[in-house]
Amino acid sequence: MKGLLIKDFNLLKKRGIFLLVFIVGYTVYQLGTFNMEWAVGFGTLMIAMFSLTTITYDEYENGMPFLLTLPIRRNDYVREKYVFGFLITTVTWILLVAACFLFDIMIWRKDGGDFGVKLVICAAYLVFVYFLISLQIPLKLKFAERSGIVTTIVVVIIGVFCSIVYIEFEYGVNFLELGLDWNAVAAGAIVVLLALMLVFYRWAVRIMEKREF
Amino acid sequence: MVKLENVKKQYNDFCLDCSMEIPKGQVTGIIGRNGAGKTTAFKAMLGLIRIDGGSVELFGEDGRILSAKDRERIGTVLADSGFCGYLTIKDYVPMLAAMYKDFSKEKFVSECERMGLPIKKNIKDFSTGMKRKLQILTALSHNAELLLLDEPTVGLDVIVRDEILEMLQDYMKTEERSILISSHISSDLEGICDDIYMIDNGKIVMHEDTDVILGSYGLIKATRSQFEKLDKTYILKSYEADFGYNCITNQKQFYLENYPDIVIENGSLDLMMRMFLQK
Repeated sequence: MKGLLIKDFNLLKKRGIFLLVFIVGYTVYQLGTFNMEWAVGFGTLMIAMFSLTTITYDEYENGMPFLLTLPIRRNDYVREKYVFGFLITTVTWILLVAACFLFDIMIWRKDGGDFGVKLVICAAYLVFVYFLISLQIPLKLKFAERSGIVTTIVVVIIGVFCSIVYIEFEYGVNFLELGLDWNAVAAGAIVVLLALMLVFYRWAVRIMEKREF
Repeated sequence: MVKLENVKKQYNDFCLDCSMEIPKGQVTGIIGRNGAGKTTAFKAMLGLIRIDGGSVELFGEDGRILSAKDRERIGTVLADSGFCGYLTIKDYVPMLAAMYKDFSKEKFVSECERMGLPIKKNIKDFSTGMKRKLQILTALSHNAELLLLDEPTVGLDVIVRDEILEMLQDYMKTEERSILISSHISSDLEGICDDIYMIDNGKIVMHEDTDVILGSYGLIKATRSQFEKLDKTYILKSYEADFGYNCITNQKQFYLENYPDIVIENGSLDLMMRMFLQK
């Protein structure tokens, strides 16, 4: 797996440099508009998307069969994609959060402010990106270039479902009146997300093991 | 070292159904027309396709569940697949070093330079021949016990081809190593292989030692009257030509001794292909 990680980091270094410059530029722009949470979320999402394009690079000019003749097994390949994706998104997230919070302290207010809420929102973005990576890897392995369409369909379905629920609860107002233990709800949501991510990982391994080259 | 037993793979209009063995210390060739099943056989050995029947054994293990450690013992060149073009040799060196414990960075880089491969250029900008050379050097770079080379000399000029074949001969100087090599260029295989498999339409139609092919087989060129008098016991195939008949035999010496007036050409892989593959 170490060899594959080295390859993907080299790809990031060579092909992702413009993306990194773009993320830095966009973050600076968003900081100027007092929108640090979105800056963190967007930058993390962009880098996650790049981690997925490494699969496309591996497939370029039918490169995958040769890659799989190297001393790796198919599940190693899948595992490496998850590790690489989570690793670069986590590092990017930490750097962006640190940069944005420092900016917040030193330039905007200098009093600390509502950092707790902001950090929770940033963390929610990170969890969402983890979820997206977990879902996209099997889709990318299964549908290649068409994975974008499939993801859009999945996201639209989830969006419609959430909208219906949201409208049903009178635009979220009734949520608060339910008197739920929100810590328990958050913990439950994390457990469900982790379970789904595990399902997606297993699905990706299965797709890879069944694939013929 | 490698054993394929009744390996079957069905595609829409093609069926691979073959058995073959690559013993230790030998160079085995596989020859056949385009689409005959050579690449499919390689893919079956490397676990790149799921076989419908039979078994594949590498180093005595089931080829389908070969460990990463066993894969380290194999060097591969595939006809239609290679490194990602968006990276350079310099980018790939640390990856290979992390994957193969016997990989020598310095030796690999110096070999690449010797073969005229630019270290810092994107591989997608390499010519077909350069890409092929890189694959061969990679296969040879980590002290593999087995080389599986599917069309390694395709796209290479005659000078580089000779150089590559020489490298393969050097590789075989270490005992207990084996090579399976396929090629369209019969002279490449004649010069290096100990035995040859011929594949047609997914099936092995011939397996013979190269020495036997070159020593015992021959092409008899007989006029019509010579053909009528010819003892046809050892004639494997004959077909009409402008001057009379072309006859393929596996007992060249018998006809050389008994028919001194008849022209007999030495056996070759091209001759074998004509005999087994010409409809």
